[in-house]
Amino acid sequence: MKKFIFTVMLVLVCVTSSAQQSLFNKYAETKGISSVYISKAMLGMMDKVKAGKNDIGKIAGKLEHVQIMSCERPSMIAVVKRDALDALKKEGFEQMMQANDDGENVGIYHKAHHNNRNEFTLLCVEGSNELQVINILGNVTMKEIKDLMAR
Amino acid sequence: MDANEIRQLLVRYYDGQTSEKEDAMLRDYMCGDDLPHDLQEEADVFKAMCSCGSVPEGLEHRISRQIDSWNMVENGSFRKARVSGIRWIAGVAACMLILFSAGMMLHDDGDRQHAQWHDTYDNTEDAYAQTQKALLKMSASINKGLQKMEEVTDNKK
Repeated sequence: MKKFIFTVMLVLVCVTSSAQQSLFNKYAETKGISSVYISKAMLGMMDKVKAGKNDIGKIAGKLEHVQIMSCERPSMIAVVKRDALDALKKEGFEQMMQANDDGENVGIYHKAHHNNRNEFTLLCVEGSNELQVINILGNVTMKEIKDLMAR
Repeated sequence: MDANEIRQLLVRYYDGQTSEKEDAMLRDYMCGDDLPHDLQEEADVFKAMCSCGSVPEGLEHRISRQIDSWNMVENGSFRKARVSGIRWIAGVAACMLILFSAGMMLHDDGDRQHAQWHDTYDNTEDAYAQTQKALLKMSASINKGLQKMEEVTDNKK
């Protein structure tokens, strides 16, 4: 019995893939769900893009990735939302903000990484029609993101 | 036999050149009384050999059985020691594997996780547009939340 328990523990510890990446991976090929991934390399080239209002080139250069998942299938919204919340909990995200406004339910979650890196996830559910998950990781603070709109 | 003959016989005895008959003669003489003074020491040795007596019955069998049981115990403990050694090594290897895995999990390996993902867009403009949309949405949500907080705080005053 001891050997069995020890073996099971060993297997569980050896699983290193994160729960949130499993969320994006899980729904990567699902009909009605679109995923976008922008890498550090692509983000690093954005400061050269000619932008008008709300230039995000500088802040984009500090990011390591941007991931966006949008679900437009009403029948899947509840399931995806549940999976997203489970993944956020497992990954150790802390809820920073929760707001309900005009049928739009928005939650912002934060996880600190080493070297002053922060990971933010936005989970937005618009009524029963659309769900969006936005995940960013980089050397940015919440103030810098907030100030994008304040300019 | 006189003492001189006995002395010569003794020399040949110690050289292993005596016959069985001569050995018996030597034993009988040495176990007797009235021996010369210089042969007393030799006589004590022969007398000790004479008083050994006969081998107890079944002694060989008992000794053989005892040796076999010692052999089994020795083999058993050798097997246990070898198995314990292998288990100890396996335990150390398992602990190291757990520590290594735990270290890998604790260490932020975001880059390794995202290595499997490829850019959705191959041009910077489209990627920029999507990133801008995402960041502005996040910013708007944060600002809206903070505004609501301020409104609640102001109302309480």
